[in-house]
Amino acid sequence: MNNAIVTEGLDKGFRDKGVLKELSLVVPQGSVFGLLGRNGAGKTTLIKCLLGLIRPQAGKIAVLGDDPWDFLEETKERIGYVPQTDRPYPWLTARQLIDYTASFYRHWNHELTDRLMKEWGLNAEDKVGLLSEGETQKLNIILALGHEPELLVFDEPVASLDPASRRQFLKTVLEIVSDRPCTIFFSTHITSDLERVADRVAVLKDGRIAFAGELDVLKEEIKRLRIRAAGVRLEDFKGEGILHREVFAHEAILCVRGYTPDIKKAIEEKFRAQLDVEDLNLEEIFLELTR
Amino acid sequence: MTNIYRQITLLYLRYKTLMVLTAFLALGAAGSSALLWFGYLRFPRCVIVEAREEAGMFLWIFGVWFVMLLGVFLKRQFATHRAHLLPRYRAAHVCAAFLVFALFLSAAAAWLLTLPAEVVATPWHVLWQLALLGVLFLVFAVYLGYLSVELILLLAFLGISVGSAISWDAFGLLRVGAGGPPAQLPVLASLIFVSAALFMARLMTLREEHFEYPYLLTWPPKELAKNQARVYGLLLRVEQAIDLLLRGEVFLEKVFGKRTCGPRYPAYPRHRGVVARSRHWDCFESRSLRHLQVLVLVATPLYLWYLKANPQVHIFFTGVHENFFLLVAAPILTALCFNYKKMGYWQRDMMKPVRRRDIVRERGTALLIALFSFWALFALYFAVLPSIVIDPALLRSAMFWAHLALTGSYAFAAFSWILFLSCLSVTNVIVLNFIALAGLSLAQTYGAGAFPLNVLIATSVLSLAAGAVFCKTALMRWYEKEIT
Amino acid sequence: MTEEKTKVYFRIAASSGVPIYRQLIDQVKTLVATSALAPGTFLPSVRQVAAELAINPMTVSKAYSLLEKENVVEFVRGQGMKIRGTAVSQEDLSQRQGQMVPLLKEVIVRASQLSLRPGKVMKMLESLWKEEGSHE
Repeated sequence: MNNAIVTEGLDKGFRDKGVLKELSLVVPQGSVFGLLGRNGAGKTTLIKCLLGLIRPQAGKIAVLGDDPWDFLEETKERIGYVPQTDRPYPWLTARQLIDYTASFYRHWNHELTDRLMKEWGLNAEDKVGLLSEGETQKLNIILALGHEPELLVFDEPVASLDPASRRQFLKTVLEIVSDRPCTIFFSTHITSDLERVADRVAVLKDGRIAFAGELDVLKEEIKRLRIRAAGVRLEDFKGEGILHREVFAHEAILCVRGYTPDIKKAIEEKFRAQLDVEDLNLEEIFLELTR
Repeated sequence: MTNIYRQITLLYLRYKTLMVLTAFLALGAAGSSALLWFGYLRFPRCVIVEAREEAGMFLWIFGVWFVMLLGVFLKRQFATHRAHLLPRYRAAHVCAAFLVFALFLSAAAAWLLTLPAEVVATPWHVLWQLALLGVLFLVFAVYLGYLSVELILLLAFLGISVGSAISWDAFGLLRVGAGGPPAQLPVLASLIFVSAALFMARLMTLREEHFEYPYLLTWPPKELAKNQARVYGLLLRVEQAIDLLLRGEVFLEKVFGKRTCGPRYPAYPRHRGVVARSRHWDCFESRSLRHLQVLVLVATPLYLWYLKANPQVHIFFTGVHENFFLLVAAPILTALCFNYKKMGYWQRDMMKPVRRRDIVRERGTALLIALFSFWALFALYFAVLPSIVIDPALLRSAMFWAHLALTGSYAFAAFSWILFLSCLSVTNVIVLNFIALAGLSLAQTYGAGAFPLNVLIATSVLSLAAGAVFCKTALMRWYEKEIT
Repeated sequence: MTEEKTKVYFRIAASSGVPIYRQLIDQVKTLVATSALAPGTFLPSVRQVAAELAINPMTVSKAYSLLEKENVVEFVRGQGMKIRGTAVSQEDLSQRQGQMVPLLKEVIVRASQLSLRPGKVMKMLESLWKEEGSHE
């Protein structure tokens, strides 16, 4: 079993609105996998289906080889989950909450959680209810890391963190990844973080995965082309790989997928044009893919 | 200005729960009036005698629900930034709320005044009390929705004491008996007006910094956890003050044993039974339990002394072992309230390394244990202890214990039915079930007084069996249900 | 005797269109070409680089293994990646020239914006180059 998460043909809707449609995804073990999607695209729904918190109408899911709806205890011990916004048990202190959570797990690294609390500036005796949003999120992350799981699932983990805390979070996550074999799956729309950390991404659009694969490949495949030639028309540019096209007086801007240097040559010859190839960063790629 | 009121009316009309209740009240009133006017000559006398008490009781119970829903609705309109930033918002909402309340009172008046004199001798008496208590409950509903259960119990205890102190014949507040309006009518009237005015004034100037602002915040479990944080700031200080006053830790430990949960909680007892495992989920609750225990310790002797010293209160306790509201509805409601805030965490708990079936089973067990504890508490405090003081002979009669047993088993059946309803998803089925439950409960309330011993025992056994069936079905369904 | 690992300052732009591993490769090659990294020195470990730049260690190992494939570095067991002594081969010429093209194009654009003629710019380039050369 070398895939941490495998799902096929996932269908999930609420009342009469379909959210996920025949979704298939594979997350290999050991990868740092980022899930991108617009607001309301269904990222949280997908994550909750993968963790057995909600039940899909159709489809197969296997997480660490187990069926999520009825995870074995051993499987749950190997999974850590940080939900989107969650303020648990406001009347407990941070220390009590950690101890309470730890009591369920057979293995808990208290030394790790203590160290992280100190490094991230959380006071163990603070009541959880009185923590700020960012501190609560940090605490949630620590709670997911304490039992040293093999699979970490984060749902927008850094949405409420300031840039310095985000950098700290990334560093901690990377430390964990280098220390032991661990798969990390997270959904976020902070593309700059993904670019640093993720080796694979998937883009969720219209209930399906519009792209899933290595981030480097994505960056190499999707480019923006600027074609300067006389008399170009919109109809000249058709094809499956074209994500977006705009034509001005003597210029056409194309966003293509599946770019190779041969294409450049071909276009230059066909239109006797000057071609500039622009690299796109993940944010721009995301915008193009989810137009 | 008229547009604002039109919009607010639409807002009320779209508040389905309130509309359903209003329809229910209206139908009940109209239906009973019709029945009484057209059929009462043929009904045997005893029904009329029963109805006399129950007109007031009907208005009391359902009226209070209506007013509490109104309070919850009002609460949601006020604890938002809109209240401060939108012009004319607060004035319009407060006026609208009082108009609705006035409408309700007028409708109640119209109904009471059309009932035959044999059923309601002093309708104005009932109306005054309804108005007063209505305003008080409106205010309570707005502020009370959040507090932890021990504070609710404390307030209920205080309310009952205050209530019996105000009226010279205990709980005469609602007795529709012979006699003119109570001597304390001016007191009641001024109480109504003063409380209404204060309430209105406060609502008009509500700001976030006001201490009561967090108490007005909304209910749904998702918001609940967030809002609890703000309320808890105050409650934590109260708790610390109590601890300090009592210097209690050492004393409490001597009496109640060491806290089950110290700084390091014991491991989840995987290899022990359902009960031990279900207790682990709430092992951090020891603090509030402890305060409850203190309350109980302190309050019991005071309570017994109060009972002995105030014979007028004894009327309340005659027949209390048959009292449906106190021994069935109240424990169910309290058990639900006690666990309502925990429901917000069930989804998070699904990720803990315990199998889904075990989690469902253990949570269910915790709920049932809560129900049983509260029923036992209510039975002890409102049936057994008073009987010891007032009429010890009662304790030796089989009927007393049979009645008590019936309330317990019926509470179990009704609670399990509610648990079963919680897994249904088709609204119509839920409503039908709920009506059936309400109907059956009402029948129980009226009928139980007349049952002979063997019928009581048989009904108890039947209730236990029905409860067990509902529990099992609910369990099976919850295994397959999404927990959100 | 262990070889000391040089402190290398990598600068990466995570949000550029160029994949991070490619930026690392280019920077190593540039440093080797300018002799900032002498042959025989060791590159910092994957962990070190990843921790400092806050990037995925797998990206760094990808860069390192590609560099190994291109014979810029070689893996010494127990010690890490050692810069090879061989000079940068001629096969890379077109690649290296390709990297210069965008920079040169920028110069042309700017020159025309500043109304400087090509001849003038070439003279400036020559004198600046001589100056740089004299500092070596």
